[in-house]
Amino acid sequence: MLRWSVSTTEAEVDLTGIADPMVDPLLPAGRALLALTDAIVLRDEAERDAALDELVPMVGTAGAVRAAAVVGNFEMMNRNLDAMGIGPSTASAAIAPDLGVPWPQ
Amino acid sequence: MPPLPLGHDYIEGLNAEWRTLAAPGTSWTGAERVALAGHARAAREGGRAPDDAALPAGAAEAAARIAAAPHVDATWLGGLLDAGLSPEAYVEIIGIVGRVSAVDSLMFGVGAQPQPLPVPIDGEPSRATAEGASMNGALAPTVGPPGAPSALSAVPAEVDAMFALHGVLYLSLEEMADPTIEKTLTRAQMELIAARTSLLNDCFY
Repeated sequence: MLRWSVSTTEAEVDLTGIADPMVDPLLPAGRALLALTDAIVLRDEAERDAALDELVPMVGTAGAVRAAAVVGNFEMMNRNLDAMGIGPSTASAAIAPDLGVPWPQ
Repeated sequence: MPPLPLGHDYIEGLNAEWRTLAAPGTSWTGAERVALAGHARAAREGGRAPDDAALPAGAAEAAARIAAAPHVDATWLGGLLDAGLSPEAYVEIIGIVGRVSAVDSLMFGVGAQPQPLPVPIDGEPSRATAEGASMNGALAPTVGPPGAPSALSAVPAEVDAMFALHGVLYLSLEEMADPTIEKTLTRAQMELIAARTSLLNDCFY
């Protein structure tokens, strides 16, 4: 979905930034969005507060709320798939090299 | 930092989800659904699990496991099914736990406290499962090939509830077809968050 979106909009993104915190994903506010995502999934209050302090001036309050909402949505979708034992799709496996992550067989 | 304010659409959507959670479902009563949500929340967020609802064997375990460590296998699920849990009841638990996890994640993310769980609504479960659901390679039945849209398809009410919340938090099915859509964030920014969330959860779908 990310690759599809950036190819359509001609936005620039470095997909390895998804897995490697040292790599800037290049999207606007990308690092701050990833920091908030990490804080929410890991339930780290201090990191969440720091991430919101950084993110809100960049994307506004509504943007930061949307970011938290999207994390919530995928917390749901991940559980639906994993609890059903639904594994990687062929399309997902194809982008593993771009992400730089080991792929489950 | 005070909690970020949720807009009207979020409040309406979350209230609708809480009404759905509180109401009788397909296999579970409203009281059982709220109790299952409580077990899920306790496993993920901490705190005491509810002890005031008589859930059948395995149900509370399933809710807690899906909330905290959802990578399950056929052996584990087989134990629950052997103990009397039906596949459709299991699918409904997945739906409940997933949506409570979503709402709790949003509230945490904006710096707010978890919403109190709703008061159950009396009534009997509908037993309205999907015709044509069968084993298609997932751990429980689906209608057609298993995937993100069809994961809960053995229980239509759970699919409806999932897509309702999906539209509030992220994108509706119609919006998903538009790679240029913006909802205060660009589509690419939303997909970056989606990819990172899934990576952290070891979900490679």
